Amino acid sequence: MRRHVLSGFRLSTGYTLAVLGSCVLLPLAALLWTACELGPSGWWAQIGTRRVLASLRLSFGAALLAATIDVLLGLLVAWVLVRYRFALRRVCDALVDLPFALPTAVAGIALTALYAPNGWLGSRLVPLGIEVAYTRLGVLLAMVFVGLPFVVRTLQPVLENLESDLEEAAYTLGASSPQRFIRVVLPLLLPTLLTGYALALARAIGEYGSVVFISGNRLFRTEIAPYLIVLKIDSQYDYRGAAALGAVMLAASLVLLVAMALLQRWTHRWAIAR
Amino acid sequence: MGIDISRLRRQFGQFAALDDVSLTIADGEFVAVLGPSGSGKTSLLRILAGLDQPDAGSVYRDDEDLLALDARRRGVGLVFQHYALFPHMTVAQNVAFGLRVRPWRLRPRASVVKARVEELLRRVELESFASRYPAQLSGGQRQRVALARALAIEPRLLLLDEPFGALDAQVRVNLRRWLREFHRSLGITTLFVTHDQEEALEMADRVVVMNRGRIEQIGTPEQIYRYPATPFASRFIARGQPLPGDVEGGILRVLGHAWPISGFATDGVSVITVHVRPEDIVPVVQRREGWSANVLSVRPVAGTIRVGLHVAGLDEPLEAEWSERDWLRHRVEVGETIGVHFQSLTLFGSDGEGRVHARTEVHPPHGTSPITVGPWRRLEA
Repeated sequence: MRRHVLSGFRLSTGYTLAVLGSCVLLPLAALLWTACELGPSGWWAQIGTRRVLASLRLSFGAALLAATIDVLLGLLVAWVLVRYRFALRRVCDALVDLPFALPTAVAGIALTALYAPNGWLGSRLVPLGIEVAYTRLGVLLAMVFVGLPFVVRTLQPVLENLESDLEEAAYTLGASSPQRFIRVVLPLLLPTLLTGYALALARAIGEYGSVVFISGNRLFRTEIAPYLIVLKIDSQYDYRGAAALGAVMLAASLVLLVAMALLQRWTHRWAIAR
Repeated sequence: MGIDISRLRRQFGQFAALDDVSLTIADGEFVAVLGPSGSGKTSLLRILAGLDQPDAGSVYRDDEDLLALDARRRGVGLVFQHYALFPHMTVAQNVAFGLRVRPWRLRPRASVVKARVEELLRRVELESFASRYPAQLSGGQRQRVALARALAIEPRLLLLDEPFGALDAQVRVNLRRWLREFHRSLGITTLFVTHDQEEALEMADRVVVMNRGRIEQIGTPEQIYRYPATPFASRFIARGQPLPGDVEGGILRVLGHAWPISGFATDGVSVITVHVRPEDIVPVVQRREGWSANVLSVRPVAGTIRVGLHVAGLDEPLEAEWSERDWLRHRVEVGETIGVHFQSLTLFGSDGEGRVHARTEVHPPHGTSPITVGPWRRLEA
């Protein structure tokens, strides 16, 4: 092993493993253990209902879509914040972090107040046939809201370090401005965009506070999986049922994140290659 | 024909990056723009490439206004100082880039692109590296990929920005020779920018010396080295060192010695500059003759000996450069006092704004002898 200037490899690594184990692995193991107490048939009885399947579909479907929207919006926001100098740029930059800092319930209430049929925006949108509050669109909106800073913040440092040389080289070689973006800038940002996507996705799947207010939790239509978990514990004291649903979410999230990591590695192969 | 650059001016705030720069480059010529950092040489390159626009002036190529053309359509190949290779593309994809981004009507077929890339990689001796990524190449190899990529668009003008700046000394010397040969075989008009005078003098057909946004001198390497036109060119290229000197009534006085000089008009001249090159400071046999100098240091550097001298009456130490053979015959030790002779002095007369009005070479007579003589070794022989 290479020797480092700073000593303390054993101590720091041991400490890291201990913290990771007690804070992450142990609770997850407990979750799986509780879920396993049901047995396969009991497990399917919990998961296989129409209500639960609809909530899982909504949770993952909306999260995937929201993360995609976040990537597109986030790229635009990060691009503008890094490339252009304008009045209030620093204020805008600080505003990006707001969804991070805000208690999610506050965000949910704010969105609901805004988009409810009698709200400031809702009262104008509903006559146009666009219903946001208490619909799946509302769920999507809340997820986009909480995921956006992840994309912007991962992208910003990479955009700042992107050498203008590369774009200028492409320019002198005859590339038009869309070609410079698609062939040079975008491939270089792709690994980072995927990282941002994975973070926004993880956040959207797990999001509870902001979604439950604006979704209205309508049966089969706008119930998200985390809401059903809370419901099972809160009103039915059904810890095993909650754990079963939790285990499904855990497994699905893990599969998604591993897939993202592999994809990210592949798009970044040119830097890893030796 | 060729490139005709006329009265270019480029201002960044108060700083004049280019100040009235005019230059003509013949077809197929290999020209070096030499100057310290901040002298405006990179600004000139960027304007020629179309990455920047001048505030005033014009650039014509065979009666075609180059400044009116977008960088994409100029047919100018630019090799960046740090190569600017696309890190996510293989070597072959990098070289093919300029062909693949052409408008589809002008875009060559895939098989043609492939053949062209293979040919270019063969020329830069990298045919076996086609599928590597830039991260897997050495500095010298990246340089050659950048060159092949710039050549793929068949440029009519090739620009190189500090082409050897980021390379090891050994690689640099090899690549210099290689590039010189390469240019000879291609014949593309080439302009390269450097701050290394040795590089410029060794490689270029013609050297343009720049300082503070102005061209100080244009000439062949030999001319520039032998007959620097300005004190800056003398200092920067021939390592000319200033001596206190004065001209009055046709008499030059330097450190207590005086000679009559001719052909040096002092009209409109307010500043006299006297320079001596390191190799023109030679030891004399008779210690009483010449100028008395104290030896401060003796450093052998690759076949030559650099001797630091403190000459009486001069605050700054002077550096003399002798061949090893001379030094072996006339060994001096640090701390010793010897006599030195200035074989050749360059005289500049400039006005208050630094414009040179008169310059001449002076060969001070040796010791008491009225005739001008060569170095002491020729006396012995």
